[in-house]
Amino acid sequence: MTIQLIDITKSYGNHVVLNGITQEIEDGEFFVILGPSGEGKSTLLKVIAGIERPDKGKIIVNGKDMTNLPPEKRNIAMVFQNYALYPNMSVYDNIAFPLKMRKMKKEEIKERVMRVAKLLGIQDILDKNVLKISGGQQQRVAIARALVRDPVFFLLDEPLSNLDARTRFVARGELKRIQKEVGKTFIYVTHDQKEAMSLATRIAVLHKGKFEQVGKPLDLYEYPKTKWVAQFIGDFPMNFLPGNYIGEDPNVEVGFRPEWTELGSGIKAVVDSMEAFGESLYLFCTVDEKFKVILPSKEWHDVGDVVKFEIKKYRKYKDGVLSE
Amino acid sequence: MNTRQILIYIGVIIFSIYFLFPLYILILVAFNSPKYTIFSLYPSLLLQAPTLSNLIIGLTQYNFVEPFLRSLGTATLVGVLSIALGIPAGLGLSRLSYKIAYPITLLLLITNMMPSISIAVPIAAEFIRAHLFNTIPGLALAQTLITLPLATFILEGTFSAIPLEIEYQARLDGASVFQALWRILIPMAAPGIVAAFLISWMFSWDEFTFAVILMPITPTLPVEIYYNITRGDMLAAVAFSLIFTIPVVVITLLLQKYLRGEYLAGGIKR
Repeated sequence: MTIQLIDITKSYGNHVVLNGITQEIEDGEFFVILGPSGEGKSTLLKVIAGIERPDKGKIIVNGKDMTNLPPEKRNIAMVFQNYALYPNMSVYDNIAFPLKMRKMKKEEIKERVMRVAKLLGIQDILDKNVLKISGGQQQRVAIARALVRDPVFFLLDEPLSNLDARTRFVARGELKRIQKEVGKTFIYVTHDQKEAMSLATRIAVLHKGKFEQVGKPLDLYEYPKTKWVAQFIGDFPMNFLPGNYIGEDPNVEVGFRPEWTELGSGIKAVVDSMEAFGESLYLFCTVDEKFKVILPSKEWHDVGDVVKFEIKKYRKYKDGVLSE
Repeated sequence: MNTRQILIYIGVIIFSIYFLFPLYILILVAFNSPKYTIFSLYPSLLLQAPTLSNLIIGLTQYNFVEPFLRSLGTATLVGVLSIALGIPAGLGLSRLSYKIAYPITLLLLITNMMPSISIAVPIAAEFIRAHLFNTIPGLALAQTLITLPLATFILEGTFSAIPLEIEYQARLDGASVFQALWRILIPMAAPGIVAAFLISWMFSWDEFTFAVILMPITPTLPVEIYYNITRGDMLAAVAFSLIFTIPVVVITLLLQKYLRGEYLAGGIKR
């Protein structure tokens, strides 16, 4: 069950949203499309779902061209950010709707709905109106409705962003468990790099209508292909300094994560501000009044203090692209 | 109860009196002996001599059943036509970009500014040729001319309030365009559809200009009441008027539960 996107292009007026996306998504992958808001993530999902037509390009699923099929013939399940529950129906009828559309027998519908309801722990609210349940429950109902039939694959458009922090954390773990249990391909869109890191088998970073880098979460963190990815991925953006600071070619930039440094001796930096993040402290500093760097620290420093740091590990970037 | 609430109540009371007073006069004339009302120079505002004879005379002397049924048929047909055409029109407009939809909506509403009297005569001429003159469908078609833009306007607003995702979701769940419309969009738009139906129905129920020009021989109830008054038969007019208000009350009560906003608001987190 591979999904092939071939040269997907889509623009609205003069604004090019998707600029020739070519990518293969493998069977059973938890494929996360990550990018800042307004970079066309949702547009890409809509194109895959068949709601929007690409201007150019093809979508091939298992060798079959789906580009011109209407959404109801694609058998793709989707969970929208606002869940898009049918407010005129009960929880049960919401989940049963895709099966009714397939003209399935009543008993079979009941059996299937019960099965997914149990999987998601929503057996007790099946008779309730979808407006009278909590946000977390609504999200489960939306996922149950996606799971109840046998879709070819799943599309999820920021399904966790409307939940509060605690519920989101639980739901994230659950989503991963469900994906393992179902064993199908999930294509998941988010702007939250943390969510992407914890869920994904592979992450595709969408920037300016293209996948700037596709890779395993750790690879993206360790070897960001471009400066832009390096600064987008991670709790803090990667630091950059000209090469001459550590005796490299001055034409290359060296990029290093805050954790790849050690305070003590070496390059001088002036502390601008400080931030506590979990158990560690981070210093926001300026080197030579020009370059901003973020350094982890074990002790408090005052604004204006001068600290020295060494770079233990770094990557070289030439013209904003990873060299080596 | 604070001052603000008291002020609101006073406002509500004044407002209610303003609207209910004419109805009170109607009831007074209907149930009071005529010598205290239409035959008196300074009519009393109180019920002096309650009687049912006014109504009995009015309703037995003249046939009100047929005009009543004609009005009912016309109004219902106008209501049905308006929503049957207004749903696709409103849905279509709500899915167009604002830049295109706005001028079309405006244009539709401008047709309402055309005085009925000035288009009623040419319509009558055409209807005579088309054998629609003095018929219920003919009158209903003419009245729909006025109600359809309003119904379309209401339904456009209703459908715009339904997030597109719901429609996409229905399609992805395997519904065709028509299934999505029938099983999801129309039930969700029920309050708007009911409002559009009610407004169209009541417009037609009360409509006079088209009715008197296009259906003068076997008239609807408003025209019949007018005939009674011009004949000088006030009591029959009053009796008919009273009957005339009953269906309005009934139909409003019946459909009231759909006219609550909460029905539309939920399902979606924005």
